[in-house]
Amino acid sequence: MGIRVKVEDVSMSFGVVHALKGVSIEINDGEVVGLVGENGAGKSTLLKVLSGTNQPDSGHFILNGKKEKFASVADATRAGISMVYQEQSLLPNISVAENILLGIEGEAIKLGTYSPRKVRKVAAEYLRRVNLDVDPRTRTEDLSFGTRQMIEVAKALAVAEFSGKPPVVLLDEPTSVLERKEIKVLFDVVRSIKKETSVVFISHRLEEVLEISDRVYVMRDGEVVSEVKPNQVSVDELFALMVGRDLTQSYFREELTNVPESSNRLEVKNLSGDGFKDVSFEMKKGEIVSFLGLQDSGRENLARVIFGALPGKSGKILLDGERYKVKNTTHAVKCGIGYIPSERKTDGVVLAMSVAENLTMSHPDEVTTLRLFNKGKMNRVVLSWIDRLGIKTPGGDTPIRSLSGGNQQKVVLAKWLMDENLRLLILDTPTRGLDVGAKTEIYAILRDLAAKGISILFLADALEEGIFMSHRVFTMKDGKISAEFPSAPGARPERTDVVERML
Amino acid sequence: MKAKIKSSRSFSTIQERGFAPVIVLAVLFVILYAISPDSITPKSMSAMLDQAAVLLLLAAGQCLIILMGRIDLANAAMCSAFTVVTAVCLNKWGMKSLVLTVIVAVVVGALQAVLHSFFQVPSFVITLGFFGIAGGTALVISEASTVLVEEKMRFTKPLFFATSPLPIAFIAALAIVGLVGIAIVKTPWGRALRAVGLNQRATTYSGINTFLVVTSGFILSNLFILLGAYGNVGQLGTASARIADSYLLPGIAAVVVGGTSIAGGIGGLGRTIWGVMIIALLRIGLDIIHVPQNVQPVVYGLVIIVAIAITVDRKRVTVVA
Repeated sequence: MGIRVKVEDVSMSFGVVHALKGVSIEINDGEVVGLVGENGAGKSTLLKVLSGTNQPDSGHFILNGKKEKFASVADATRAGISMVYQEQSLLPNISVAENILLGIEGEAIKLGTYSPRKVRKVAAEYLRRVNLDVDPRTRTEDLSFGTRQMIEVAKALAVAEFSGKPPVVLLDEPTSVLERKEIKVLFDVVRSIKKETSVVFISHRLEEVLEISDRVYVMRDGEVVSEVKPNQVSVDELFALMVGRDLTQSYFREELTNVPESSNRLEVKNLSGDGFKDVSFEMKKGEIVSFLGLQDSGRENLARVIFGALPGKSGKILLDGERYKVKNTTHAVKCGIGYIPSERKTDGVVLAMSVAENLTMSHPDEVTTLRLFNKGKMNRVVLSWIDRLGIKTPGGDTPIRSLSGGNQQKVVLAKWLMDENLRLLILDTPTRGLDVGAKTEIYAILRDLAAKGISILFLADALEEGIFMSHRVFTMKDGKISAEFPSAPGARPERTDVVERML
Repeated sequence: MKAKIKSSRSFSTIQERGFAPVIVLAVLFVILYAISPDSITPKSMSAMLDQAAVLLLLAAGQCLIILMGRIDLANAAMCSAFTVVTAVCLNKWGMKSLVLTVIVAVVVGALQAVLHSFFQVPSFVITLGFFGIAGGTALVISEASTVLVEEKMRFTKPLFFATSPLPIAFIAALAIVGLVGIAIVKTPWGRALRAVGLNQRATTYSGINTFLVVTSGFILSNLFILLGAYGNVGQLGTASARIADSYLLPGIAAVVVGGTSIAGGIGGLGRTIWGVMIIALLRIGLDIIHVPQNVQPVVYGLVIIVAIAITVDRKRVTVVA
């Protein structure tokens, strides 16, 4: 097994920020290399250097024994390296085949004319290699997000191989927007192409990195701090390497687990709504209940109906034993229910407003006198929450747009926590897209809330998160609850059992 | 390259803080004074501001709608209709019937909001419809002729025809607009209005009843328009079906020149007051340099395009809902 690409002593800075400091890594033939690190550790910058998007200040690559530098993306693709981007780069209004071969039509163009048949034939071959049963003539926008992601991979393969060199495909967080089932397909594809293709894989989900990689580089503050084999480390150990602290607590902060109270906070009886039917369950005070399911499982709409953001069709909800007939979100908030939507940037925060404005959006009465905003009160309240949740921001007047994802999410949490009568918090994938450091902080806050008697309805982003964070796990499938598992530290349900009830 | 970035940054701070219209106003003033020093007297300025009272009220109404990320194309036509309704009411039933006009304005605003929210039709479509409805209704009520107000509104007389050197009508309008302007900055309702203009979904998910917020905005806007109609009756003593139609462009121009984002959420009535003064001064300037009345709308149209082109935030995609 030879070395495909060697990165030697690459450094790069943006102004005063050293994004990469003397980074050296090797990518071998037929190998999946994992790259982990917190946001800002330099993973994405390293990939951008490899793909020719950014040029390093110093250092070089060694390809086939020769020193090389890439001046552009074109240089990188000529060397057989291509990248699958986080945000999809396919054109929506042309066919799958045209997308895969866009710019690398090669033999499909003869004498300046374009042969759609030839394009389809070549594209079909790449679709077969990523196990996709899609007609190459399909308009790209008619396909699901997960399928488009797989087409992205096919395109990257095509681009890399067009060079005639052995291909290297870079995957920058390809799984962050995929469902569990789609991730499995992606991993199968990665395993099947790695015979001839080297793959570099970034993900914030450490379990995934350990599952798919042959070797993992851990990055911190622009440096490679360690290189590990997946079978030699656990998620907790990998996490400790990434954040660089000696962790007395675990990633999921299980040491903070509480015992729920005996009385019921929420009783849902035969609730039906758009996308789910006849759902019944109960939640104790101070209980964390996670819901796991695929995109169309109905769990998102179930959460929205309880919060009053969508109308329910039939059924009954009791809150602390009293009938709760929710009219709209305003009514839900008055009853002490909070909701954190999954799309933080578009639904969770008002990006153009300040930290203080977002933080006090739901409960402005806490910072007004005679219905007018009181600057002094506002400052006191906002600063106390910034302090309590460790929100990294210069101040309350800072536009929330300039905060990192994790800190934005903490502001959204604070928005609900400031309600002294908060009874139930509904969270739709609150850790999506956050780095692991921010995730553990959110986990700790949730455990802390539960200990105070607040019930938490948790739509988990990843399987582990759902299993390890909760007192009970519900799985949903086709709009119905398909199973219920008790969950406690040391007595967690088996992930295979849980997955089985989701699919 | 670096210098260019820096200058555009300092421009954007001026823009964000709302200083730009004050600077524009000052420059315009100096230019006018340089061209024709005689035309800038305390008396002419006072008259100019009184003339601008109706524009201020209409622009304030438009501003509320634009803050919510919407637009009101019926604004000026509705003012014409309200002017006719007010004149007819006064002629038939006297001062007490002004209550009726208030009811009409509230119903119109609520109807616009309900149609807009429940059928999820963009505001420009709804208000374009109301533009037609207002124009037709005004023609029917006025029987397509000019309605003379037999007894000029007693309460507007001191506003427009007092001997005081101060622009009383403008000051009265300013006081009302200023009060609502403060409410927009200082109250949770005002913040919700701006939040709806920036991101309605996130606002709903925060537990704010966005339907009520939007409805309140439309009703308040139409009440401003009604006040503008009172101003028309008081000032002119007549009403006709097209009397205020020409205010649409200068009204929108005043809002955007004042620095309220056409995409919603950013800006406010304070900025609109500056915008109205700019447009009022511009109008005098156009008269001084002998631009014919018929050509003036061309100028307002250009002002809107240029002001939006300079200030629009290109990172935000949708412009008007």
